[in-house]
Amino acid sequence: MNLKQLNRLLTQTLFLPVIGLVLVAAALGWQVLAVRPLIQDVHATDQSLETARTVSSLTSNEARGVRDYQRTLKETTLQPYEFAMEPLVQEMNTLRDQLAAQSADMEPINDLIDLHNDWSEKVATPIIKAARDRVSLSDSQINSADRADMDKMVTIESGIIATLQSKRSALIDRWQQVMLRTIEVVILSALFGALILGLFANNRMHRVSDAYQNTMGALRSTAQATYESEQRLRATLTSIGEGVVVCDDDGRIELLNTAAQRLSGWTQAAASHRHMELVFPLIDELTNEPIGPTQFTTAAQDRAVSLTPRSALLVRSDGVEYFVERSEAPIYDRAGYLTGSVTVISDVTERRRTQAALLASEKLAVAGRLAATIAHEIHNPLDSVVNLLYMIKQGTSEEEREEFVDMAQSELARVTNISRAMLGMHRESRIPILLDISAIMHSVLILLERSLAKSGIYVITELTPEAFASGYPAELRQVFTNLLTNAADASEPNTTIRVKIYNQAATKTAEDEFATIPGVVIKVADQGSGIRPEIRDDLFRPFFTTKGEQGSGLGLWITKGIIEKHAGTIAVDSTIATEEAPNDHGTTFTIFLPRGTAGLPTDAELQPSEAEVVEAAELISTKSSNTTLITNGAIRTRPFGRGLGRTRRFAPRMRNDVPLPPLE
Amino acid sequence: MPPEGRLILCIDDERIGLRVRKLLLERAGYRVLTAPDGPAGLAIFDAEPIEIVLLDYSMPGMHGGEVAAVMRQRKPLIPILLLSAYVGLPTEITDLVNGYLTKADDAPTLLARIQSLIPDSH
Repeated sequence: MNLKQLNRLLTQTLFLPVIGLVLVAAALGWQVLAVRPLIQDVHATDQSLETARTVSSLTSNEARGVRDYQRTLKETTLQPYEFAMEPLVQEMNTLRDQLAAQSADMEPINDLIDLHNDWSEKVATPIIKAARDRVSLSDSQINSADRADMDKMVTIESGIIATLQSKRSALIDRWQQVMLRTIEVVILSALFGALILGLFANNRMHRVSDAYQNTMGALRSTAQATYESEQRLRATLTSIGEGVVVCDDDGRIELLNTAAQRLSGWTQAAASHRHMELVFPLIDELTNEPIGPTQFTTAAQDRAVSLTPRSALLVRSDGVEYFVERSEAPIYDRAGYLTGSVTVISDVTERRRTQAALLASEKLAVAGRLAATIAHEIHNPLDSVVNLLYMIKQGTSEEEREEFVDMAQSELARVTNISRAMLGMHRESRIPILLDISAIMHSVLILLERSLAKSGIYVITELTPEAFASGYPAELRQVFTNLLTNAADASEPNTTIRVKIYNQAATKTAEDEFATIPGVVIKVADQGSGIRPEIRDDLFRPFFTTKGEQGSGLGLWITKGIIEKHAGTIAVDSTIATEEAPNDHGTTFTIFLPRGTAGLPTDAELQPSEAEVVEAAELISTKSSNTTLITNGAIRTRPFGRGLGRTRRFAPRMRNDVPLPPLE
Repeated sequence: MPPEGRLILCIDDERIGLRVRKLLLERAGYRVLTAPDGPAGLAIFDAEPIEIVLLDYSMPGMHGGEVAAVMRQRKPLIPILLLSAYVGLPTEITDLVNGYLTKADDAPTLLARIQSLIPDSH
């Protein structure tokens, strides 16, 4: 029931009794009007009765006066007759008029008047005249006539009075009946009206009551739902693992959930109404500057808020430090005005530690693989040396001995240079330095050359010399090793891996001066089966591997991390064989490393020296391995590494080298 | 048992290592045939009356385990001694051969192992 319906109902309930009362009043009024003629009739009858009685009394006065005068002959005794004479005629006429007005029977009154006139002329006047003349009237005729007329007149008068009285009684009876009926009607209509009113009011009150019950029920269930919803949200907020802080528009704390209390070390009561920066002193990791509160605009139309979490360092007043990520969002009211903000702060300390541990473990795994390679590369020349020494000890001719010693020396030099080259792999600079990217790629290719050749995979290189970029050499070696081993794992025998490195010049234009920054592009392309589109997005996630037990799933994740540390980018482009083009498949990883600002180290700063590394590359490649090299477009078949080693600088350029602690 | 005239097949992709090993074995009295990879080695193994094989594990193309498996199919009784620059080869490969040595162990050990494996058929 809505308000309109309720109003209509109330109006109905108000007007029905009013209408009922008006009807009853009208009935009563009608009855009163109906009774009025009756009452008038009664009044008229009463007057007629009075007149009739007066007539009767005056008549007897006249008769008595006449008789007394006749007997006494005194004039005084005649007075009643004389006094009554005139009024009697008047009263008689009045009575006649009244009766005429009442349309009653006129015969008795007319008879009465005639009789009286008759009596006055024939009886009264002669008697009085005789008395005055002293004539004895013994005329019995006159006396008997007097008596007969008088008796008749009295009888007529009595008749008139009786008629009038009976008429009055009838009128009174009718009046009483009408009154009784009126009372009955009033009582009945009152009862009926009360009944109708009662039923109607009952019905309407039930409807209002039902509507009220419904409204109350709805309100109760709404209140219950609101309460439950609030409880649910509160429980969610409390149990959520991230710290949630609600502030007012002035940046003062209104609410801290459990995680936020634990993280900050403040209780809700203590932190309430304090400034966010006091409870959560956040420091920028890179600049060490305190992070102030975010200024949200109050304009409603400008609500675009970045929810990207930003990392920061939380330094509590008790000295405990947490790595946190925080994201903030403004709260607007309906009118679009800022009423507060919500800040979500997550503790990522554990995640950071895990990431660091993962990085370390992957580094160890890489080191382990390298160690196996080193063992292999060292054991082969050592085997020759051991055998040569045994033969010399057994006794040889002079020239044989010369030859054996030379061979042993050469093999030992190979061991030394391999160990030096390996050592370079594990040295790392603490600051980015300018690196010859082609040279680093070349040194990685030398190490991998043997296993690639073993798998029957050809490497085609197009390495632009003097491709310089700022970076950390050991990390980039790890990146190149990852990409090349991934490419090799994806490759079938007798397929090619193309490695291309070239400088990208800055293409600064007047319109867009940051269109492209200068740097080095590295492309590693294999002819494997390609990467299915649905897993391409997963490639750079940790623990994602397609190699089963063989892979840690960390290689590309670490690669991406290293590239991002170098402010570079890594992209993957993959083609899967289709029915139309069954031979068109493979994957290309493209890395861009910005030229950066690091300076070019002088030759004196290079360790180990360029010459030594060239020699090392030569010695590593002394055996015949038939890797086909296409260098800058020219196809040549030659021992891998030898040609490049002679013609190209590929010394790892670094400075401030700090050796890592030895591997266990 | 003097090893005079016994025919050994050495297979290794390391050029210098192979040359030195051939010299060593010849000085010890063996006749030595060499091959730089698995397929060449198997051809000689099939063609010549080889009495013992000295096989390198790590080679391009076929590795030592694969070569040994083929040899076991063709002439199961010929002893094979596997040499490897790696430490810790999988057991399914070491089980296939009569023995294995890590490279750069000393020469007398190598010679003693060869002599112990040669069938006493003279």
